[in-house]
Amino acid sequence: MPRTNLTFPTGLVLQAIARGHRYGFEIMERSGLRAGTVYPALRRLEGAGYLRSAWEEEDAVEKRPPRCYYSLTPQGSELLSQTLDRFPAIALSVGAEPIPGPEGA
Amino acid sequence: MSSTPPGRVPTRTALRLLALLVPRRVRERWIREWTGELAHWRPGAGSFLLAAARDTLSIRALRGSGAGPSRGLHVASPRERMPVRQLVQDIHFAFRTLRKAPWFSLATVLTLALGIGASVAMFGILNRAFLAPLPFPGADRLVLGRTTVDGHLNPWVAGADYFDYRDQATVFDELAAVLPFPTEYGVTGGGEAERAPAGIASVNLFGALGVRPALGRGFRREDGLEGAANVVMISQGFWQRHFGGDPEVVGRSLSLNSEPYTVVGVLPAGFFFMYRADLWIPLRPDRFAASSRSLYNWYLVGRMRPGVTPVQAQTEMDLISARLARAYPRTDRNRGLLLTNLQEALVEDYRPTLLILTGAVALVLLIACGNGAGILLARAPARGFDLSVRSALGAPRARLVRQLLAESLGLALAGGLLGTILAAGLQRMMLAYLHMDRLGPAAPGLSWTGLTAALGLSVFAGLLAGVYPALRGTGSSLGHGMKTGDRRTGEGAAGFRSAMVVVQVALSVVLLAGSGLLVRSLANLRALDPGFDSRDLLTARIWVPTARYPEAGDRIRFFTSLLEQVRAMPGVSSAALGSHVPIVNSGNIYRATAVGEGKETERIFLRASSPGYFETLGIPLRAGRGIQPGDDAGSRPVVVLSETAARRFFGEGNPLGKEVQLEIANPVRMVVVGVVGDVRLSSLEDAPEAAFYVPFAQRATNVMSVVLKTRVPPASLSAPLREVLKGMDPDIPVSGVATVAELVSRSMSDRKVLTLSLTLFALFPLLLAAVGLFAVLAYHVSRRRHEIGVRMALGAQASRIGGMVLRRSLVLVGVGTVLGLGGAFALTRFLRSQLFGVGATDPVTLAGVVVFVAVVSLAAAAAPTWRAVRADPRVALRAE
Repeated sequence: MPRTNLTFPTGLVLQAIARGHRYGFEIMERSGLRAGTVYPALRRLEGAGYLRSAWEEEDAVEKRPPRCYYSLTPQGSELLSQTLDRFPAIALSVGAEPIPGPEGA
Repeated sequence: MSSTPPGRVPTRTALRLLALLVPRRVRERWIREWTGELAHWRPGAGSFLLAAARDTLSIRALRGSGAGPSRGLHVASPRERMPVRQLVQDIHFAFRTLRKAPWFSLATVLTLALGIGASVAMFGILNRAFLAPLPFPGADRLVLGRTTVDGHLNPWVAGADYFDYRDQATVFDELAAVLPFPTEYGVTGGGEAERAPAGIASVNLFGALGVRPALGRGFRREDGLEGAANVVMISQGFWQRHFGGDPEVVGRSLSLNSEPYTVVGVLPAGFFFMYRADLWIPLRPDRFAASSRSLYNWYLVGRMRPGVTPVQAQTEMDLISARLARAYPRTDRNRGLLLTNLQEALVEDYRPTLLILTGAVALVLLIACGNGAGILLARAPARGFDLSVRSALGAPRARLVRQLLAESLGLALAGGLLGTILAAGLQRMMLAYLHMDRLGPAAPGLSWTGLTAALGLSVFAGLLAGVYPALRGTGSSLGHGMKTGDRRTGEGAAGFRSAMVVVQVALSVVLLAGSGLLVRSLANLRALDPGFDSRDLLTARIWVPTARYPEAGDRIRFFTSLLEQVRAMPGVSSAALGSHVPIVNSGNIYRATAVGEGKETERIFLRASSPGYFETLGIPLRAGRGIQPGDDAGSRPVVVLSETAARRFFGEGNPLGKEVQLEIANPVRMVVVGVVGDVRLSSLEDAPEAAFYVPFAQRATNVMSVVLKTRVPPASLSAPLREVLKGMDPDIPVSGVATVAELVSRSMSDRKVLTLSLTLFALFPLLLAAVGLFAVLAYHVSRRRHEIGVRMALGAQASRIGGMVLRRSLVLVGVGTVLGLGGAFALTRFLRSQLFGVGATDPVTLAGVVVFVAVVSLAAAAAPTWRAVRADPRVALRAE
């Protein structure tokens, strides 16, 4: 498994996913990081096996296209706790409540 | 069933286009993912497409990391190389950063453009002079042969000697002879009557050079034999101009100086050798004094056989020279033939100038890079925070250094682009003055080599300027950047910039010292008394063809008649003939002895002159008499000595009435009848030599200069003079119609170019130093504003504050000046060959330079000092 640096933004991303913000855009909003940071992190983490991605069901009602959402693998959880050890502030900076919007979590 | 994707059509199209950047295997998935995101994108999150674009980059980046199976959008593919991709990213980021700070970028670009531009221009000139080979096949085997007398270059070879070298040498494929200067011929027949420059060369010159005719044939052996039919080869330009490009030109007839010649061939376009010539006429033993062993007219051009080394060739020449010296002791004693690589010989005269200029340009480039580095460092505080964050996010130091280097490279490339445009103009200007005539006309603009050099120099400059700031900006102090902002790196930058001021002052002093010495040398030369009066003198050089004036008597009659007519011209106060005009025509070295004095033979310059020569040229008579009409072929041979000649041959005694012997094939004894003042014979710089002036009527050469002293501006008589000459004999070649003053000035033109160029190069670092000093002092004052406020509140005089600032500038400039003086002592010795009348460490010049630098520095320090002195204490105190 390729090494991934235990960095602050990586931690923010993992935490956001752990807190239920599974889509790329929500991760951006929650963590405050730019798209230029979040998406590469997602690719890297998925490529390294810390995340897995899946497609949601197509919504027949609202007729919007299916989105891709991420979840932590066991390795990802392990990585998250390591990162929290290193950067405790992460736990504080990513909240659990979803941001109100057209769709729920 | 697929729902209609949201978002505007252009965005979706753009997304599909961006998808092309994503590896094929995951392309569809990528499009789906982003299409999904598009629906939920909110404006505050930044540009959607930009984010998608960056994502493509990061996916490509992931490919490079190679390890692990493919998962999700990670497509494992170890093929792509990391460093290249990272470099592209770096450059992309660099451009973004630079665009954010336009003034700084512009300042750096301009400074580097100047340095790179000057370097590229210089490189182009050096390339032409030294690196680019002559346009002849196997040019490295071509050599130039010149005579030496007692080891000194004379330099021309006698025709008869040439034939002997040619016949006896075994080391050459071909050994040719060529006249060192073109002569003018009157051309009639075929087209308009005109005067055209012609080169005289042995029949094998083009064979030696490896030049094949474009039309017709080259010269054959038969063309060079006595009594052969007159043939001529013409240049492309002449062919177009005179014959209108007639394809049947071969075989047509031309009348050159009233003699019929047949055109046998046309030279290829772009052919150039030594000088511009429309016509090339073969050398024959019965023409152009080619059989003489005592008239020296020729350069030899040889192509060495393959496998022959220069040493072998030179040894053989020495052997032949020794043989000739034994066979013809009167004329060939102490003579040798020096072989020099042709290309080197052609640029010999320019070598010192070019080397000095190269040194100066290299210094200018270094200064520009140093200045660039200074500017980059001044930016360091602003970058500090940004770099600290990136470092905290895990970027290794090497990566940050590379990032900063990419920025400086980007600036340098932009500077290089601008500089290259500058270079074309700079090069034109320098070539216009450098007169590298022997190499032919310069191709306009920059060559591919030059452009490559520009690129290389830009990269070099970018790295040189960027290395120190990059290393410094990413050092251990990086962590502080995040916390404290800019304090620490700002201080460091100021220290570096102070160091830069010192260095620039030092370099200015060195260059200014050099330019100051050259300026004084030029002034000394101008003020020099050449021994004659060059004002209001018009001259023309006349070559009388021996074919039509074979006897000395014929030539004497011609020239005597010419002199009468010229003296009768309105506006002419006196006129005379001379075989050589001082400074303008040099050479003609012989050996002579004082009869009965028991001394060795001495070198002398032989001059044939008409009566009135000394008066016309304003050469003072020191003893005895000048040349008189009574001194003709029937009377006793006489000679007038120059002061140096009198001293060398007869010491302090009276030479009048004594005899000297000219050591030529048939030695001539002459009685000394007068002594005249010394003149500069071959150049202003060389000390006067021994000169023998013999009556022209007793030594009737076929090339003479007519010199007119005019009551009106001399240039106004050049047309009337041509008329008189044409009236006497329209087919006699005339060249060099010019005022003597101008010809003397032209002899100094190379020196003027060097002086001007070096002065300009010297002012550039001085300007940079002044600007740098201003910036350092301004920064210093602004940092100390609080302190200044406190001092003033506590009652310090304004003068003390001002003194504080001035002291700092004094330290910087003083250290720089001392270093510069040290450098000047060490380096100005390289200028010695160009100096005249000043030593390389002339104290007056150096003192002048120090004063000049001090004045400029004071001017630069004035504004910050004034600001410090006028600072309002209340405002200053509030600045924390």
